[in-house]
Amino acid sequence: MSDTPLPDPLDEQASDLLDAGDDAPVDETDVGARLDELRTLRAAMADVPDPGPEVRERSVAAALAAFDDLLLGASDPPAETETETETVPVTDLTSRVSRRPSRARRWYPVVASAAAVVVVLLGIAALVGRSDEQGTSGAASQAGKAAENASDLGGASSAAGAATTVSASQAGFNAGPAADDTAGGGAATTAAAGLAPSVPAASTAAASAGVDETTSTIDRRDVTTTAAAPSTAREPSTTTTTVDPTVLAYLGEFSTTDALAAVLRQPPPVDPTDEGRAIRTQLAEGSCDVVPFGVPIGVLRWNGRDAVAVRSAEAPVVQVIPLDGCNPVALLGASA
Amino acid sequence: MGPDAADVDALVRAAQDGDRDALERLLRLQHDRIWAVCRRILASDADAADASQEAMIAVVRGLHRFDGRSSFSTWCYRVAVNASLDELRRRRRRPTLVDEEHGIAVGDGADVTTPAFDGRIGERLRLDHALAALPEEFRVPVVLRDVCDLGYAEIADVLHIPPGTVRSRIARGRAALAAALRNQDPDTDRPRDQS
Repeated sequence: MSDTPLPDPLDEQASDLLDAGDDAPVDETDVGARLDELRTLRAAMADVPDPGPEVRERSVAAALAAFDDLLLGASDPPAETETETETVPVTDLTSRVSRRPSRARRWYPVVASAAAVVVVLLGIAALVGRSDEQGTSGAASQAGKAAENASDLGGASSAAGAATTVSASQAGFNAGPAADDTAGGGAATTAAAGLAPSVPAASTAAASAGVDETTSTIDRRDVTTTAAAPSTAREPSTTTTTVDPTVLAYLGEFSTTDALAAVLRQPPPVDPTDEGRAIRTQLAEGSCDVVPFGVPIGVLRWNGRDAVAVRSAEAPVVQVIPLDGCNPVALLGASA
Repeated sequence: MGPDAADVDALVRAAQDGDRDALERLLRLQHDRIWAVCRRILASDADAADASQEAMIAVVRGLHRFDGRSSFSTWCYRVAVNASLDELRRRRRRPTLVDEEHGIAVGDGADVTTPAFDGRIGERLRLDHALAALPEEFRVPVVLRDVCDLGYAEIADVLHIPPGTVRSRIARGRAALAAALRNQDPDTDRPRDQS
């Protein structure tokens, strides 16, 4: 419409005169000329080409066929429905579904990996527990054994070089109340929520380590660890620790265990709301599930990688877990 | 109401009651009117054949809804206009063959300004060309007025626009058509408008 010019008053007048049907001659020359033009145009418009009998018959036949269909449909609707049913293509989706790996099958590698980690940690706990019973070695030797076992943690040591051990005498660190709670429970096992298939394996290992039951759940923000008492205590005394990753202390940037150990001896050094926000966010969003490793006690930068310090639930050690790889890269010994 | 109109009303009532013969007579009476609307709006024999057939089928399917408030012919014109506009939309979605050498769409028709097309055939071609170039909002009222001889009020009823708008659009549409034909006329000595 925009490219059509505004109406000329002469055109409107001529058009009105044409529609008025007045054949009287018009005095004004311009209007008269335009009126004649419109009369010619109207005659040409009315001279519509004949459709021809073929087009006419085809249209009438199609319309009558539609009429017959309507009558047929009104008298026998089931027949029409039956015909429709026959023409609807049916696709068997069973084969597609079977080709797609099931949800359980897709999670199997993850579950199996987690179960393997739990079993290894149970082994560490068993060794440490045995050392405690024997009482033949000090805290430094305990940490040394833990470090030896940690070297088997899925190539963790190779990722960060050899895992470093700091004796308790060197690092009597303050792991905070959360760590204290779990440390008091002695040997315990931890399993991540959503890893239910791994529970039987973990339970078996736990039984061999003299532990009745251990459960742990995480829903992104809250880490809840429930540690049962050793089998010697028939009434299981459970302790529950809830850790919100978003409020974990930011410990700082580290490249050696000595520097980290020095910080861990002190109370949380930095207001958790000021530093390490990105690391805490990653942790809260589940970029790395640290629950199988223990209880997180702070976030840090370790050789340029965002990481979290986790106090192991199975041994008096602190592991450094980078969030991008989830495999421990450093190990600090500690005494209870 | 003339006898023809009374006949049409009787045929409509009979067809609504399921009389197939009455319906066929009714359809044959209306076909050429429907065809004329479709042919002028679409400016193409093939498209008009498709649209008029669709309109005839729509008349049959909607016959039970016709309540006699307007004349049956006016109701058929409305159906024909809708079928034509539907056909126009389908035409826009249709792929167009392009003559790459000359950069023109195949099927646009011959150059109607050439002197080879003179006489009645030339006039029809030029009119089709001018109609096709006229926007729908002007083309349809002009067709309903000059082809179907409907009054402003009836056109307003068919198109659901005020009668004043009908009058304005008819005047502007006629003027645009006349100007287009003037420019296409190979014998005219008037200067061609560039707009």
